[in-house]
Amino acid sequence: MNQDFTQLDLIRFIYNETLPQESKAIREWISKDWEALDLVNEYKRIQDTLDGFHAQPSPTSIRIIMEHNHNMEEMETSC
Amino acid sequence: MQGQIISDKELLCEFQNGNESALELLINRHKEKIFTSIYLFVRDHYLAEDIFQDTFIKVVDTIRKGKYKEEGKFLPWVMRISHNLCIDHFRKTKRTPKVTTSDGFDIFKVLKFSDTNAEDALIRDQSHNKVRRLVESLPQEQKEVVILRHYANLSFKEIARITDVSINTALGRMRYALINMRKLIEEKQISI
Repeated sequence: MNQDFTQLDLIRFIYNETLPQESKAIREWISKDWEALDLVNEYKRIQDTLDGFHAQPSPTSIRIIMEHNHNMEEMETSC
Repeated sequence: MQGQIISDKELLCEFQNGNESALELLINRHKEKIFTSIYLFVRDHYLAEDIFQDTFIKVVDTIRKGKYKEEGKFLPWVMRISHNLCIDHFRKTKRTPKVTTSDGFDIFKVLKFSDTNAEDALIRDQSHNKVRRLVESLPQEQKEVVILRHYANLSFKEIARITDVSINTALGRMRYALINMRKLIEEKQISI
C-alpha cells in the first residue's frame, strides 16, 4: 500500500468522496501500482453488481401519504 | 427556467407555503433510494411499504408543525427517520431481518418491475439473486453501511452520524463488506 494513502482512502475514492487533489494523486498511484489498480477494479465490479437492484414503492403508498397530508391540512384549516 | 432543477430546499419551502405538489415531487424524487434501502433492511415488501408510508407521514407531520430545521440535507434526514423505524420494528419483534416471508415465499419475486419480456425478467431475477446473496451474507453492521452508502447514496459522514459511529468506523465497515463480498464471489463463483 502507498505510504500516503490507506485502504480507507481507496474506499472514499471509489465512492467519489475524495477531494479533487486526492483523487488525482490516487489515480497517479494506481496507474503505477497494479495491485492497487486490481483492488479498485474489483471494488468497482462489486459496485456494478450492487447497482443491479432497485425497488419502488407502490403508487398506493404515495397516495396514502398525500391523503394524510390533505387530511392534516383540512384539520388545520377547520381549527 | 427550462431544464432547471428545483432543489429540495426550494421544494420544501413551496410545501411549507401550502403547495402539495411540491411534496409529491420530493417523494417521487427520493422514493426509489428510500424504498430500496428500507426493503433491503427488512426484506419484506409489505412491511417495507408500511415503513415507507410511516416515514413520510412523520416527515409531513414534522414539516407541517414547523419542527423541521434545515440543518442538513433533506434525504439524510428522511433516511434517518426510515432507518430508526426499521430498527424500532426489529426491536419490537425482537428478531433480525428475515430472508423470506413466514410461508417461505420469496418476496423478491413479487416486486414490480417494468420488464418487457421473459428474458428481461430472467436476467433481472438472476441479478437480484446475486445482489441478495451478497448483501445477505454480510454481518448486520456491514450490511447497514452498504445499504446506506450504495442504495441511499448517503456520504460516509452522514452514515457515521446516523449510525452513531466515527467516519473511519463507517469506512472500515464498508471495506470489510467489500472484502467479504469479494470472498463470497470467489468462493461461490458468482459471476460479476
